[in-house]
Amino acid sequence: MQAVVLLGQHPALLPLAPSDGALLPVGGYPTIELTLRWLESAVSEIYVVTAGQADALTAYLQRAGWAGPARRGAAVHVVVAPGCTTEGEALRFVEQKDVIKSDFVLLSGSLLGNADLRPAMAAHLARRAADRQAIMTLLLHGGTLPPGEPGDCCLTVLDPLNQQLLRLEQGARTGSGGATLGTHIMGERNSVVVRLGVRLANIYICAPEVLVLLSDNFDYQSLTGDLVPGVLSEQELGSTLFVHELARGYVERISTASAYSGVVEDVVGRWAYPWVPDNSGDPQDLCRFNRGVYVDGTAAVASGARLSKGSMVGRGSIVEAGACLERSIVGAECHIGRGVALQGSCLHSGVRVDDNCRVSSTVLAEQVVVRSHARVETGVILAKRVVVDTAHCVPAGMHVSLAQHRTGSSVASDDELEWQEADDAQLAAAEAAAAALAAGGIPEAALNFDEHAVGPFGAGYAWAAAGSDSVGAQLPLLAGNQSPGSECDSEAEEFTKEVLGAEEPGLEEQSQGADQFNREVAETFLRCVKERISHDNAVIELNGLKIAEDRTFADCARYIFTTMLSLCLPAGPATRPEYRSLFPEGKVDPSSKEGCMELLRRINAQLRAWKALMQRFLRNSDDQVELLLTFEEYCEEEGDFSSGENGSVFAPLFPQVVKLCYDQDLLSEEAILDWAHEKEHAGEEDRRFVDMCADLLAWLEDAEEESSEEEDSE
Amino acid sequence: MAAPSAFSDRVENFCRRLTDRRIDGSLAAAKGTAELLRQLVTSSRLNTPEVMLAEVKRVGLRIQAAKPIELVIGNIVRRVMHIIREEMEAEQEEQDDDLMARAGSGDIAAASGGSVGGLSKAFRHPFATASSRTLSLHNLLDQGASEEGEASSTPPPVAGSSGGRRHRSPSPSPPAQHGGGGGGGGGRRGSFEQQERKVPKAGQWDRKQEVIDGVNDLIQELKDIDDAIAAQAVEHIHANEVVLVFGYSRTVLHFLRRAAEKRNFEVVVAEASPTYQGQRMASELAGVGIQATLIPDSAVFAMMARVNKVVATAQALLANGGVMAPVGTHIVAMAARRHSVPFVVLCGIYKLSTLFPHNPAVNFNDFKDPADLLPRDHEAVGLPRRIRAETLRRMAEEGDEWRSGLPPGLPELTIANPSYDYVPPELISLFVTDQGHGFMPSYVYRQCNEFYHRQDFILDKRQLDQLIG
Repeated sequence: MQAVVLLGQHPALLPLAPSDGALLPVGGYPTIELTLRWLESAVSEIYVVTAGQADALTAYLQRAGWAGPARRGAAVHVVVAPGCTTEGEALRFVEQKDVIKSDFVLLSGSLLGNADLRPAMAAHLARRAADRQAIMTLLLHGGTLPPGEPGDCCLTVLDPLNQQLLRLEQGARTGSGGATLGTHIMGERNSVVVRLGVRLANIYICAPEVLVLLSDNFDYQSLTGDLVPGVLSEQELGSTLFVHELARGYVERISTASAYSGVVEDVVGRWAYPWVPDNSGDPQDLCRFNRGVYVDGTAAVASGARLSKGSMVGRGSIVEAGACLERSIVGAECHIGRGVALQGSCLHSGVRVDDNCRVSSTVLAEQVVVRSHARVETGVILAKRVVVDTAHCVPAGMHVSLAQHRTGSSVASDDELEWQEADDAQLAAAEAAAAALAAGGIPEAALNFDEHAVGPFGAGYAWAAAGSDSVGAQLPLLAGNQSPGSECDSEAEEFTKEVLGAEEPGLEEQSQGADQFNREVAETFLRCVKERISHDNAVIELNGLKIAEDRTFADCARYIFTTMLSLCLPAGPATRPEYRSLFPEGKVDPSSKEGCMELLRRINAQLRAWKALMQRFLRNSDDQVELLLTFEEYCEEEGDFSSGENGSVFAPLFPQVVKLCYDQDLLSEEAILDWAHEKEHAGEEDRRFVDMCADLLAWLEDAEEESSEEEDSE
Repeated sequence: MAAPSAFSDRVENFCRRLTDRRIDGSLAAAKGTAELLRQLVTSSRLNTPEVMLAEVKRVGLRIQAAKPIELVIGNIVRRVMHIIREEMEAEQEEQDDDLMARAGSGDIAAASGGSVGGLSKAFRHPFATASSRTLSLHNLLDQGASEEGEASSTPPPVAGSSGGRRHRSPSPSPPAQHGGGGGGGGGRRGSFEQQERKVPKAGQWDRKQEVIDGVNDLIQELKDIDDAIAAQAVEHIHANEVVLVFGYSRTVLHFLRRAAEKRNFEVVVAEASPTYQGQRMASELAGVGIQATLIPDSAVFAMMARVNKVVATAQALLANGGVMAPVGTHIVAMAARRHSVPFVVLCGIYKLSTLFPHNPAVNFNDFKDPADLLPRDHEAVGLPRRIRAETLRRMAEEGDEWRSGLPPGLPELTIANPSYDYVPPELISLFVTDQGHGFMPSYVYRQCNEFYHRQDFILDKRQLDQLIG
């Protein structure tokens, strides 16, 4: 059997792992090592699909003897799928490569565990032998999550006789209302089993037909979100899904920083046995487990140091007297000074924590230096080579990295290439400066690192902490199960290209395609209006268009919006005859007060009618800022809208339209304020619309004093 | 050269399976190791005994490192090295005799070719080697000294060196001369003189085939291990006895079944938490018509008063006569001692290790995953983590307290699931091995000298130094 591992790009782990989380250390191993060792016993060929930079991964696999001629039990191949942001896209990419020949095991995300997959595989193959249509087996964790326990879980409806899956509801929490099941679900069955609090293991055993299904339905993005409901709703096609409960064993996915810490804790707590730190099988490795503490034979732990249960000291590390490690993992070649208190922290290799520091519940990546008497508070993540100054306190929950966080991912994506280059140069400069600072010197080039994050002689830039909108809103790539509260239900998860670090299409290409895309969106939208197509179907059509053209949600939203505005005016000369009936007959005179009122009424009607549709495409405040910028462009009749559209009619009404959008929940106050903030330093001409909205902005700021304060401090 | 890489691939593959616990049980590990070493000694690259010893040791240490807890791997390596050393010594002796014959009578007696097989066979079989070669109390001290000298004077083996092949008389010395070899001391002195003139030989080592046969015998021994132990069952299990066993063991099951062919007895099975393999043992015993009673581990002490004999098994037999046994065996042994019930350990001689329990290289326990004791979704497992997360959240809200890290005294649950127990020698009454006789723990040191060469007792001196130093 073959296996496909889809490595995810996890925004929450971004400061730690710029490409993908595959090489994050877990109890002395890179994550991918444990994944592969686990799979090795069950499959013969493994394809690791990554969207990020694969160089480091490939190098590691070569070094560890995984890649190349089948030296280990299973042959491992790396597939780089640039720009693939969801499960669906990545699997379509794999299908094009034409490497999957038989039934395969699919792991979505960086998973590790010790559960035996072979019984599930055998059951799947047995079903397939009897019925070719049993195309997929979803693996579930054994047992159910007790109510009140945090974690993703779902509701399943099963046929008790053969474990056929009849319905899967994501994010169904015990006590959160519940789901409505139609009687059709019974079919010819005497009984069905409804289970709450079921946890998906994010492992799927698939027939090759699944890949065909995904390429036929190119709008399928997530397996559990799109494919499963799709297959279940098209029962007449005969495909069936089954579940298999893992009787015992450990399976966990690293998708967030807290999940990462949890997995590290589990590995040290031996839940993933035999993959525990003292069982690497490497003759050079002398890690010993004694009374709940792992200490490597080459590590020097002073007799005055105190190590609590669940701690680990890696190869060549030094722990000085008076240091106290409480459930903390210290990687290789670290130096822990006198009187240091480490609490629930995870230190990667080469970290230096000087005397009398306090570090609690944090992750410190490679080569981090925390100088004496400094404090690192709970929830902090310090990325590679960050330096924290003497006696400085890193505030709780802060993420610090030498690379600058790209805020406002919506800002004209044209700059992307320049950004990339500038970033590399900037990172190199920052690393040089950090090296100098770590050695206690003064860097040659002064960089204005964030003083409040790392202190006057520290090195690092603060990132917006995960959980705040800018990062948290972007859901994990290739995420199978979405968090229940988020707005995006079953649609594609789009991940802005900036985060992915993938190259954007060239500038020219972009503008060439823009016109056509504009027309197509406009036309699709008009057809939807004309044929009274339901919102859901309109979303699907527009989504299809978006994917075909490789656009963002914001792109769709802006063209829908401008089309809506044009629907408030009489049809222009370029309008196709079949849609002319949709446009209002009466001309309005924008200069008169009545004309304005009439226009606003029409806009309001349009907004109300298509509010739900728009919201599907305005997924976060960045998209909304984009919409505002578009509106500006439209009013000024420049850029994409310079020909044949009479956007200038709306120019005087700009603040009113923005207010209407705000009332209809299309624009959040945050987005409007962001937009104004962005334009702050723009030229007089560019600020025209911001100035027009001054009243509205003032009102918004008054209403949300606290949030605006936060904005300022940023 | 494809062959060496293919072999090292096999070794690595085997190591990986050991590390990932895909090879279950010490017998499988021992068999795998022995088969790999057989392939190694068969390889044509190893054309001198020194190279062969070095290679066997290197590969053996690699395999042992993959699973340090499995001491049988080291034992098999020592056995194979012992076979090679025996052949070397036999060869040496032959040469000495040869020399002496030459010096004594002045002519080389042509002798029958058949005796070579007989002679080397005599040395290959550990039991037949009651000659002066085998270490004993009376030659223990000088033996060690002379060997050290030998080891230091031996030039490092150079593969493929084109030194002129020393011409040896093709016909070995007659057995009569071997018998009158002049005692151990004389032989040794001779060997010293011999050292000076010894030149590394090119081509194949003459005695390679004997070594391969020896390793084959070892593999055969492993294959027949259960039968060999079970053959003595009737001597140890008497009519109408009550025998207590702990958990599941293939060897014990075999032993009891063989005894049941002749005797009528009763078995009490302790279920052996947390794996509860005793349940399987009881059902299999009952399945073959032996009267079995299943009890929980906690009832072992109470039950012991009615038991006539405890039959246990071991993971490893240590040099001091203690054993490493499945977890729970120690309390059974203690209970047996309290009630003066004989505690019999069945264990193949391949489990005999030269290491002492206080040796830092003996990694005593293998802590398995806690899921055997508590499932991961059990409330007690999730609770500490949930409380910690909640504390963090509360601290974040209160702001002030947030600055001083987590408060002390948060709940913390540690689950330990060890695999082995150490049972000290004073609790063990008898070992029953495949070698055809039982022995007491105090006799174990003798067995060590019987089966292993003194130089191999500690295989990896470097690692030991590192651990101590």
